[in-house]
Amino acid sequence: MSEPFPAHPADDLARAFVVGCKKSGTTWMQALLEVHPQVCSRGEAGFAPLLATPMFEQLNAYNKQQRAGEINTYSGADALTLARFAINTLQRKWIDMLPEPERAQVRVIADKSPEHALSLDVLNAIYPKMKAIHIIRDGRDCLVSGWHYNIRGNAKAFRSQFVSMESYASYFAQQQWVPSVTRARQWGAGHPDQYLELRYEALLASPDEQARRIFDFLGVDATGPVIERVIERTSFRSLSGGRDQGETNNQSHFRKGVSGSWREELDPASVRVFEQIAGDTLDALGYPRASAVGV
Amino acid sequence: MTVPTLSHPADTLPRAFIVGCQKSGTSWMQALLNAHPEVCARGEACFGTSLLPRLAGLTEAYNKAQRAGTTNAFDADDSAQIMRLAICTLQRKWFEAAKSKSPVRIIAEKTPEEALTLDTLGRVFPAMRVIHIIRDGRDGVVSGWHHNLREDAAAFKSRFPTLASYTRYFVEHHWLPYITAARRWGIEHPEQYLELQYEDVLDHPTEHARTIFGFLGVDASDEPVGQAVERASFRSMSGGRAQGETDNASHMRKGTSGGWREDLDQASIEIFEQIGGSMLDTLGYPRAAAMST
Repeated sequence: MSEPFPAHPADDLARAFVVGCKKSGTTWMQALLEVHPQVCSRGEAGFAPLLATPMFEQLNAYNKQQRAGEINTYSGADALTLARFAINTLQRKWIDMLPEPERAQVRVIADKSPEHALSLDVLNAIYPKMKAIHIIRDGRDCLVSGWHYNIRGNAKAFRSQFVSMESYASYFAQQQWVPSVTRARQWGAGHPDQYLELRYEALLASPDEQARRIFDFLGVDATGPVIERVIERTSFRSLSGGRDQGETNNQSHFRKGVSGSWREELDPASVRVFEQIAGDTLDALGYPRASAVGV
Repeated sequence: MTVPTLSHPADTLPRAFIVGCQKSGTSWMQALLNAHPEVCARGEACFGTSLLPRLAGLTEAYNKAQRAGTTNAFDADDSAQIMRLAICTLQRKWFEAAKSKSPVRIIAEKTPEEALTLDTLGRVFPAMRVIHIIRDGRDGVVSGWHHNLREDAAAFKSRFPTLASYTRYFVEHHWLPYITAARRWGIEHPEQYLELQYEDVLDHPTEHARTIFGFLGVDASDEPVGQAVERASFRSMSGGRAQGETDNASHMRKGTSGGWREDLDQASIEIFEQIGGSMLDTLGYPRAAAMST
């Protein structure tokens, strides 16, 4: 009889997860990984909140209904195995979709889901050797980017929820930037060998150096030619369809490609609100306060 | 690089499901099957009724949450495979616990209500075998009445103040739908379906046990069959009582058939036969009027 649960070569590949607060450059990071021949990279799979956590909830509910002892219920290890199987089922397809010569080169499967910044513990339980790449950006720049992003996407609903940039700033600091940055760093502190932290600003300033750091961390080819190709294909010029950094197009996902423009684009009230909530985190990360940069 | 297998020896064993309206003898069937050296039979796992719908909901919700046009979605085969692994995960534990058996050649599970979910189970185990036990529903009502009074009298009595009201519920929501659904599946999968009537098994247990074990593809010779019948007899399962020796406090209450004629009032009989009459006829159970009752 044939194998009921045949394994697949993709199951054995290393796993990486790109995380970060929204608008911190996670999509850029994903693009960077996608160009590398040894990495198979995809976005927005949301495995932890959309698949694994609901699966644990359902198995727990099933267990509660069972009367018999432990052999009629799922243990924690069982649940992790099932979650891993479900995720692997999808990731096998990512690999299978690659044409043959490319497929054989892949060493790492990567997913970019910003919200995974909050679920690194869950992902690590499912993939104990996984690596996390956490990209951090000045939250005030994220805020500006987020504002434009939402205006582009669903302006009416967004404007009715956030009547002013100030109200959005409060929400964004409290519900997005601080929790995302804090939780991911916390996890990283406990798993230093599995965690790489990058700054968007550093990626802008010295992309080849940062790219080398990333690929070294992932254990893939980090030599000159590969880095060059990656940088070229993921430059702001390439991703924005020909614009230089600083050439703004508010309608594009690749809006401006600079850092620090919050100083011109954020009104003082919004800055104040943001720094009130996120000040400690800004300080811890070395991002100067508005007052310190004469804003 | 060696790729580890995800399978367990138990995963390749054939599967069987025991189904039927509650109080039709499904527990008895499970005990009979489990008493055979080559069968591992467990109950109330509620795979079709609880586990599989939960897993189906999960993969559907995940697919919906993915952006349109994405290839990052579970197809029907993927979902079935996840369900298969989920069931196998538990049944491997049953298999391991049954190591003393000689060796296990089929894994069976009993959940009465799975009579309604055979299509779902069939997607996961396309070659599964189904044993459907049917009983005269009028005896089922009596048995169910006592069963519920044992379990949770207060709640039950407030929901069903009279035997007649319980009878209506039982025949409408259990007896008729379960039998109809299971028989329909049986017509579509004749090679995989065995139907038995409780009353017949009661009268000729050895003969029917032989049929059952033959159907399951295990040793149907005299010794294992006789042993299983003995271990699952009313006397054994009731703690020593003979058939007919009633103990309303026991799951193995009476072990006879036809007791409805004394235990069901006229109103209840009428309600049952009004709703379930043609099924009684189809199954060969005589109406009350046809007997001197």
